[in-house]
Amino acid sequence: MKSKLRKEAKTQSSTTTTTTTTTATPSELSFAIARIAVSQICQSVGFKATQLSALETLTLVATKYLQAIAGSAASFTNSSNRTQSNLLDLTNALHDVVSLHSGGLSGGSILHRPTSTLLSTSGVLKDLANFVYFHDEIPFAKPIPRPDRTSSSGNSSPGTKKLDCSRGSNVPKWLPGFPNGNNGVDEIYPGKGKRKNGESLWEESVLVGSDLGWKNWNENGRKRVVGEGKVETGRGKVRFKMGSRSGVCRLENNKNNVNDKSNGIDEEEKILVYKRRRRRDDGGRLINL
Amino acid sequence: MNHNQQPGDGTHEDDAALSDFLASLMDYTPTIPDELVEHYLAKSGFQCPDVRLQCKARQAAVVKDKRDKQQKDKRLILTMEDLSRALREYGVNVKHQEYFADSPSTGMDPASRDE
Repeated sequence: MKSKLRKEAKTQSSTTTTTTTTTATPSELSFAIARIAVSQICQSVGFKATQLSALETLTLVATKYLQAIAGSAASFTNSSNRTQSNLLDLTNALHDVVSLHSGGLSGGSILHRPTSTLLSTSGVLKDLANFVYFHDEIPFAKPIPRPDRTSSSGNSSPGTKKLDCSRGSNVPKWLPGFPNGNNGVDEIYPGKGKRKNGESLWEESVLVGSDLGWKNWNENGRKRVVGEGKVETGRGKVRFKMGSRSGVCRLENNKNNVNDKSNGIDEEEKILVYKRRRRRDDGGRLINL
Repeated sequence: MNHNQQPGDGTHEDDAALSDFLASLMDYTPTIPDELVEHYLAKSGFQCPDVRLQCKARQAAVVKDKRDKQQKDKRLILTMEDLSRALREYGVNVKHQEYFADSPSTGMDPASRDE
């Protein structure tokens, strides 16, 4: 009598090759593990061999089944204004999923009565209790190596190495880390904060020296000094002169020497003259026209 | 409140039965490993510190599914035909190749074959 499934041996050997190399993506790894578990269950039912495509299809069905239960339970939880799922959510989800393929189950309608309790009315839980009671355990064939939490490959994304409990219990662990605000330079992704052509947000630019909001305050609580609002490129000094009698405002460029008054035409080209006639009364005060 | 009217022994028994059931779940080691179940639960947004019930439910469902595929043949091989037939009863439509041909012109009328 054949004691091992042919495909189980093949999947085990393929899994060992994938675990020795680090190129398997998390989804491939989880799918391979699921395939081994499903083949073990096949063997426990009585199958001696299986087609490869059939095994893959059954594994896919199993993973999608689990995701369907989880998603349904999560939506039950969320609709009750909670984030942590409890047994009632899970039972309702199981009822939903099981009733789809078995054409209904016992105890679903009276589950929510105030006098009923969970185990007495739920057919799904009763079936599960019977299953657990009557069936022998089938432990998983191989020990699963725990993904190294500091490495970038494996089930965890590169940003999770900093999580642990530093973000508080309100943040789930499977979410990626917060983006870092260290002057736009991320320790995990070094090139992230810097753009190709040196573009940056105008609030953080050198030219703006005001204390705009929170971005100018670094972690120590001191104001971030960014160039002090000074303009980088040198410019010529500009001097404005307000005329006394006729109200002429002249923009004189200091570089082109002011002393050259004989060259009036050139000066006139460079000077913007605003003439405004005003009357003054006897006291010398301006009278608006 | 309605549910305070009958606190009687029935609820206590059921509570005890429920806690026994959950304790038995903790003892039982399911074939599908906990890490795998946690991975798929996290992928679907399910948050719960205890995941044993999920694993059991999944295994029970898969076992039921497999039992339906048993054939009268003594040497049981899981084939795509049986699988698709059984899955159709559960509402899952799986398409598969009916047969494999040796060459592109297999089964064609000999007069229409290009030679």
